[in-house]
Amino acid sequence: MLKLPKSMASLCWASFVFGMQQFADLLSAEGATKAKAAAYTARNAIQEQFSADPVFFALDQIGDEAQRQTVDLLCDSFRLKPLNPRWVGRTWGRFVAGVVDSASALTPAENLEATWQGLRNTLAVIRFVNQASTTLNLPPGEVRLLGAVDRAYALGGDYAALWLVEGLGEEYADRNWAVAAPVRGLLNRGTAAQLPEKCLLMLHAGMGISFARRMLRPLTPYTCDSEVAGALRRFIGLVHDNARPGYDGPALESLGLVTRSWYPQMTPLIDRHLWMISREALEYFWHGVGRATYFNPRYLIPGASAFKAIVREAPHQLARLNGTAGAAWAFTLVNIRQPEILLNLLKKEGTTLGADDAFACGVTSTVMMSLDTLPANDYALEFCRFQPKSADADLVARWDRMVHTPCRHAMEHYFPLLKNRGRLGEIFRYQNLERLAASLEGQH
Amino acid sequence: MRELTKSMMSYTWAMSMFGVQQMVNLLTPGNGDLWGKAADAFDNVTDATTKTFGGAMTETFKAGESLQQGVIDIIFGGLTEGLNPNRWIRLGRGVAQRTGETTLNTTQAPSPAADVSPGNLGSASASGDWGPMPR
Repeated sequence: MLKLPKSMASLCWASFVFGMQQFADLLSAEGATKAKAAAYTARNAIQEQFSADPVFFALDQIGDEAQRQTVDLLCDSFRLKPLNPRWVGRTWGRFVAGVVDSASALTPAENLEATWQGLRNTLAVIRFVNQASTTLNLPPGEVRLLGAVDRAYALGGDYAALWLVEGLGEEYADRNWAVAAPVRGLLNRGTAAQLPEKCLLMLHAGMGISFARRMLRPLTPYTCDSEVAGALRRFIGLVHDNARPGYDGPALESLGLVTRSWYPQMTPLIDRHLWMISREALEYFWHGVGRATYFNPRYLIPGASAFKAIVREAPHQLARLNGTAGAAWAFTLVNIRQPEILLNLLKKEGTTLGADDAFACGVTSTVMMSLDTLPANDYALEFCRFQPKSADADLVARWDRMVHTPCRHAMEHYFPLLKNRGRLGEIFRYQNLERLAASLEGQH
Repeated sequence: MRELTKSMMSYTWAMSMFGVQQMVNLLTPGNGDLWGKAADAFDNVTDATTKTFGGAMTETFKAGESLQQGVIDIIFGGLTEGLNPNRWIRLGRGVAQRTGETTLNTTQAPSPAADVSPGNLGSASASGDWGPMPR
């Protein structure tokens, strides 16, 4: 009875002392950096309390972005930027583009239906992910992985099983985490080596989420370079020590997912360090950033496009290509049962998305993953067979070029090849699949 | 300056949302110990916040916390046990003692850089330097 009022009072007092500490820091040398790091750490601790509550997570993210933009606007106003015609043009241009995008997402009825259905699908997936642990209801103690995988497939049915298996991977890695010594052999030794192949991709993705959260939690954007580089090397080492050969891709990709979802301010810092540590890990990282951007509440608002956000935020071409492929991966997987939603996306953004093969790469990745992870259902097959009934010849041609033909090649050629060679983890980054297939065939 | 303002506003916004979330959780009927879960959530945030404190602020926090925990004991004890004078005297003495002990620790706390392990305090006394007790 008394615990709650005491805890509330403690937090109120801690917040007051935190304010005093911030004030004292500001008066000292390099105090601003220390104050920003402290605010970042305290804020993340609060944000973690929202991680199982998508509504509050969304409100927090959207509100935070709104206040950041307000601060930018006020600071620009103090610097008299509104007197500069270029600043006015740019600001109004962004505003008008946002309004136009929102209007085109909501009108005509065809677009409204696609937007609404896409939003419902995305929220359903977010619910699966957040409730994975509760749905699986694992008994305390050691996780019996073989039984738990069967249970995930039995409970999840023909679609939600994907997300339950990802949640299981995270829970399994969490429970096996040891502070004293680095964990080894989680998915490549013992009973884990007997797991059915269909669960491996998402189990590895879940394990990667667990590792990434543990590595990123103590870091701030103001942490010294050697510490950040050390944490990233530890993460990559953990993935290699625990993943099956050929399956480290989805685990490495989770670093991007975790960073963009829970520690977005760390994205540029990690990008800079991974350039020097591992180019391969950097590609997977940006694919994960793309995936997380699609699920970010800010881009669930009708008219806000995750694809445009990636183009805006990507610091280089590798980031843009992998980010676009990651967002396409998420978009296709969420809406794989309704290809009309993807067709609607191509109608609105097809011109920019078709400028290179990153979008098509993301779509084919999803098809291959579905064939592997959900072998009992025909979602991937039906998606690939879909032919748009549209009078718009350009749109039909675009669908054929960006979806139908790449998916057919993936099903008939790339998927069997990658699976036979144990290289399915490769689909969690952008690459030219034709070149990869040729290289694998050449090696053979 | 701009980034600092954003950081502080971001913290304030998150804290406000956290308060609303806990209120909604407490008012929503559900399974399990809702009060216990809310208290754990408050404790988690408090722990993370206090970890950012320096030495002096940590001691300030501890002193204030002891005082307010005692006050809460008195208030809620009074509500549940009525106006029993013995209880009031006992609680008042307890609060004074706890606050006094914490304040004593705060005023005698060595600089943050110093090692405050018991072994080191003992050796400081033995060598004739300032120790925890006057000789």
